[in-house]
Amino acid sequence: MTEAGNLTLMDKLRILSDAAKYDVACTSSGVDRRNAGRGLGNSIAAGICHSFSADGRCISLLKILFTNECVFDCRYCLNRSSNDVLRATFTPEEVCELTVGFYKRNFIEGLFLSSGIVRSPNYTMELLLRTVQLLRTKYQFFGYIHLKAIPGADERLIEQAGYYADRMSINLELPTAEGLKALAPHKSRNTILKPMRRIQLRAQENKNELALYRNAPKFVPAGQSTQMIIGATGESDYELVQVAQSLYKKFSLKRVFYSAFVNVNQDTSLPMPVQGPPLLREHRLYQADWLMRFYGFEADELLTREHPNFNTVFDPKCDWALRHLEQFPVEINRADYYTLLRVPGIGVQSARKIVGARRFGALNFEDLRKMRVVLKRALYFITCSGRMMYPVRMEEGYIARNLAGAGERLPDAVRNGGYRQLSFFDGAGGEVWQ
Amino acid sequence: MAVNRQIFLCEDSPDGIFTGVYDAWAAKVPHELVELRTARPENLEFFCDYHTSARDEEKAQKVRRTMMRRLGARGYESLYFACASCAPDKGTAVFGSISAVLRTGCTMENQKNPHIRRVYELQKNVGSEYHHYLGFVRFAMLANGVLFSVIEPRNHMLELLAGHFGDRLCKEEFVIYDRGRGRLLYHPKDESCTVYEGIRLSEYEMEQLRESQEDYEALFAAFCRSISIRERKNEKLQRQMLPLHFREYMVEFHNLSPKTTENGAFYDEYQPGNVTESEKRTQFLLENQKQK
Ligand code: SF4
Repeated sequence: MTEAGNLTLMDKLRILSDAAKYDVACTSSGVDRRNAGRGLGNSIAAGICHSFSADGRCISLLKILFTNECVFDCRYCLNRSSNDVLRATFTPEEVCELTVGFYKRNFIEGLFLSSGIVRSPNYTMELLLRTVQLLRTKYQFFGYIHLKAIPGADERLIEQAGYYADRMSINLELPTAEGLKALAPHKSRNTILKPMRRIQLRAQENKNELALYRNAPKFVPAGQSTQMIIGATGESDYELVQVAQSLYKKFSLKRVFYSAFVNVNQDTSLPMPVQGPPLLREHRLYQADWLMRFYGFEADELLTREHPNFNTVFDPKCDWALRHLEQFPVEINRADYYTLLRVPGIGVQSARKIVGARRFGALNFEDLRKMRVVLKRALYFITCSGRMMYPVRMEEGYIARNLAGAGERLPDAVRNGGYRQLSFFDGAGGEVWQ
Repeated sequence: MAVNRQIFLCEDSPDGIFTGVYDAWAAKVPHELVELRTARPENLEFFCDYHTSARDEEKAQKVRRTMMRRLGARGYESLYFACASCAPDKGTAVFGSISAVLRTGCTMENQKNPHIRRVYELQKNVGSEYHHYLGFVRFAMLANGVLFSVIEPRNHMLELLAGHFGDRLCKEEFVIYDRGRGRLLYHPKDESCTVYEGIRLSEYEMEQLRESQEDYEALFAAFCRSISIRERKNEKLQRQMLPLHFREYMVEFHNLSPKTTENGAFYDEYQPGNVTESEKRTQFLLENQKQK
């Protein structure tokens, strides 16, 4: 397999997955699609992790570049044209064979295909389009496909590709236009935001078409995502969450991913973090992102110009609660779902359990404990039928000290997508076995 | 006066347990005294009345339909998942929950009820193992084109996995073998799945399966390695997300033969300052590229 100087498939896979590893968007979530006897594969909206790499990240998709040739010269990227690295390029068939071969063995949920820019953005986008087209038609593949749109490529090509992909993404790369200009001289805000807008509009039109014609072809059914590099330029967390919020609200993105900067090129003009990539910062951003997407928080509530960075000791929700003690304690038996979600220590699962169970009688602390609602942090912020668990002074310093003592269990990783709605219907009475 | 515990012995399957529920209800004994067991007790206990409940499709179907109607698909699913648990008290918890639902008119959200709470726990436990296996099942393609997978789950998994893989791999012939229970799920091309009981593969056969060395396996192992970011190495997190007991049957964690060791383990060979086989290969190819 490793004889001659020619690249084997193994060499290509090694090179082109290595080159794709800094792209963090490895989730297969967002779309449910049954196969129903048509060919190979289906898709599960909650996403499935197939393995975990040595850095603890989920491996869900065959994440590769089509090629690591590149005519652009982004400073933060290993594949930039000025670097002397080993270059490789797949053929569309090779990508299809690998995807199908891996998929059948249940190694992956599908394909994540990105690419360096070979010759021109259009030439590259055409190659990507041909690959996904082949995979869906000739190979009858119905698993998940996440496809990168190439900045600067013809929008028609991008749009066409959207009918084969489940999700598309264009990386914002850097949170500010200045940052982008400095570090990615061949890209511009415009070549990134324009196709992003285009995909958004097309997806909206497609929703209307689907409402009229159920069998109309689907356009990026799992939506659009993007990625920002954290810590390469000097933005504050405040600026980052603001950018993220506007991407969610103005561009209807499904996910924004944050990637702690790794100085792969040892480029002296970029930061060289001595303690490795800024992982805690990245983690805080994901927590904040989660609060904005599922907990009904606004970016302004989490950070402000005067308070522009996340607390290293407390997670963003705790931090917020400590600054808003006037809104606590909340009554477990009456507070609505979103108010419960604002209590430190109460997550989606606990809030749902509480809302579900209190319909059958008032809950006390003992009930909560039995229902495995973790009270370690919540106890400072809640009452059950008007009583707190212990007498608590509603005072920031006092609670902060206690919370710091309770410690933060840094979650393994902020989970992929997977927000599932529970629904229960009650049937009518009558005979016992109906 | 029935103060004895009323023990119903039923088959260890959803239908078996639902039949048990039906029979226990029909027996008109106080519900607090009912226990449903899916394993024969080793010693008979005192103050217990034993009943045997033989699986009966029709009775099970009645219970199943009632619960579907009362609870909807979600609520029913929690009972179904609980039935797949390996916990010995699952039958009793399922009976207790159904009794509460039918007698008090509550739903499976009523976590004040201990049986319902228990069903919820069992469901979560089974569900988490199931969700792991959706990703962690590994098929090897045998010479005859059959996809073969071995698992050793704590809870019953085959029936749950049948639906998922039956749809996903509908055009493939595949097998999932639960080694611990000696049960085997077989899916022929374009047809539905069947479970076979009492199947024992010999050590030799297992060895053959383990030794299957397809190119795809080496490729995937190499992929898993090169996709990791060295600067973020975190094996503790990896272990949390993918507990060690799953790895025995996952090809990316096997040591492949010497020919392909370079693609085998993750960073085992990597030490700062040390040149790995794959790095040597990259160097060689890079020189080559420059000359061209
Ligand atoms: S366009 Fe920039 S980020 Fe993308 S591969 Fe080329 S150099 Fe790297």
